[in-house]
Amino acid sequence: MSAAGPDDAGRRERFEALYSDEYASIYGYVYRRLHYAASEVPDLVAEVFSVAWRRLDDLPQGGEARLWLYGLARHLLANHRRGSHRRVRLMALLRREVSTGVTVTVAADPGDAWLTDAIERLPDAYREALRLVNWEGCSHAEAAQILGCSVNAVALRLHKAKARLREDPLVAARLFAERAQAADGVRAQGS
Amino acid sequence: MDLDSRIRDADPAKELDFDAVATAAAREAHRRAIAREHPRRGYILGVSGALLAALAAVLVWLVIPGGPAVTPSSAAAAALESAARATQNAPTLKLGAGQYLYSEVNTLAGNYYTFGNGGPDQRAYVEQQQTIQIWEAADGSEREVWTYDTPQTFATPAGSRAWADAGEPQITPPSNTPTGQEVEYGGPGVLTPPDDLSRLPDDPAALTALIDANETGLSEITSDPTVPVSAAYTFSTAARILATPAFGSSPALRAALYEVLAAVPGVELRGTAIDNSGGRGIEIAGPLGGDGYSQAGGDAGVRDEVIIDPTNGTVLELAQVLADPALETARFVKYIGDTRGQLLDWTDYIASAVVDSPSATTVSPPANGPIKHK
Repeated sequence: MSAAGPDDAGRRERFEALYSDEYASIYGYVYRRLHYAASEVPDLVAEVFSVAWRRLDDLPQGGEARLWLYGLARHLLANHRRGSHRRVRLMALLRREVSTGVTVTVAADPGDAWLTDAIERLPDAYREALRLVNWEGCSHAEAAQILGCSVNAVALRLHKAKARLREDPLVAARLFAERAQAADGVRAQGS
Repeated sequence: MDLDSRIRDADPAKELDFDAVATAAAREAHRRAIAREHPRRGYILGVSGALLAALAAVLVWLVIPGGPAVTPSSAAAAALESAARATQNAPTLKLGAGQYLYSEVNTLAGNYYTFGNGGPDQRAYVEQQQTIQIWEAADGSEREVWTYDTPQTFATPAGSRAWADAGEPQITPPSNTPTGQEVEYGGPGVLTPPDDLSRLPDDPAALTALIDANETGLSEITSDPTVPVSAAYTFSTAARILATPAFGSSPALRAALYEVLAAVPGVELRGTAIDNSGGRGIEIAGPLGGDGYSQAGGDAGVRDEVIIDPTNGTVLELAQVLADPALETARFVKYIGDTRGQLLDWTDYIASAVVDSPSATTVSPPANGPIKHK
């Protein structure tokens, strides 16, 4: 139930400012984690802000609000595939996209797929720390707040995430090939 | 380039056009919607009226053969009332420590792709049959296995042409390659605990009011505040709660959900039917408007149809059907289809049971199941 009536202008004003300031950030956050099913992104972003509206009084002030929204989005993402009737509803949303021309899903671009796929294969805790710091631009302290762990734990997870990526056979092969290609280029220039 | 730079470069959203997805108009629409109270409808009188209509229909069927004609809606209400009585024998789903609620569905799912810059001829809607197996524990841990049963197929020739013109790019899951895919979620605490239906009222009027106010509190019944509630929404939501195996689903609640369906204006008894997995039952159609979420932007010519096993009151299939192509947009017709009666998506509820491990598909304590849906 909406927690405020139409008279509650101050509350609505705060929500509108939050929405205006953070929409793109939250959209990007959800998109990065759901890009393989991008047509589901707008629905999930709407859900984030619907919950934010209902729980506006729980929202911290200032820059902390974005971290709170990230945490909420993370929680909703974890649930988004649960059950089967949500999927049925998604079919209706897909049809709405087709009907109204909203364009959000793009067929696979193989460009960085070798790396994004490897990131997907990381354990959840490592993957999320990596994304928050490298893609969302969070500091270690901010990532720690979102993940509910210590700053040291974030640093450790980042270290382990990168170590795992380097050990990933497909990533290692790709990086090796790129280094070899670069070395060939240097040799060719020298000869 | 070092690994850090490569990771930053691999950001899937690096080329996302935020202006396109978050236009001022979209923001404004969402803001208005969020800030709006949901309209409410009075349903107490509606339920009473439907009950009377159902009783009348039952009398006509059972007592006065050859009597006055039965309207489709009252016949549907009578059938739903009958299902409400039949479901009284089904068990309440409860879990003990270390137990999982196992459910299995077959479904036809769709996905929508754009190619290139997403121009008018650069789109495709594809369909694929999947089997989804879910094991849920009361502590929130869950395991899902998705199996792709058929290759992806384009819903219309226009989509197939767009894909070919784009150089046949890979679409996910890989086209023409049915593969099993396992999705594992974490243990306790990673997910919120699953919905518990025992907190829902088993009074039909109270339940209808709760559904229409988007206040069921169920995580999967998320509200879209941009769309006012409609008869299609009430039908669709009640049918989904009824169909989906969940903790705390009691005979009284299921009976109440059937009564909610019976009270929806425009429900229609379609006769006997066989679902896409071979289950036999009776088919009830809801009002036009799809699932009621999307009426503002589409699905005006779509309606929900539910197939019920009349012997035990279980839902065999939930489907969305194109009932009136003339009400749909040109783009819908081009990429999804234009055939009256076309099945747009369906979900068949194959089985649910309480099991002792997140891989078992057989029941352990006889008192709790399994509920074989056909």
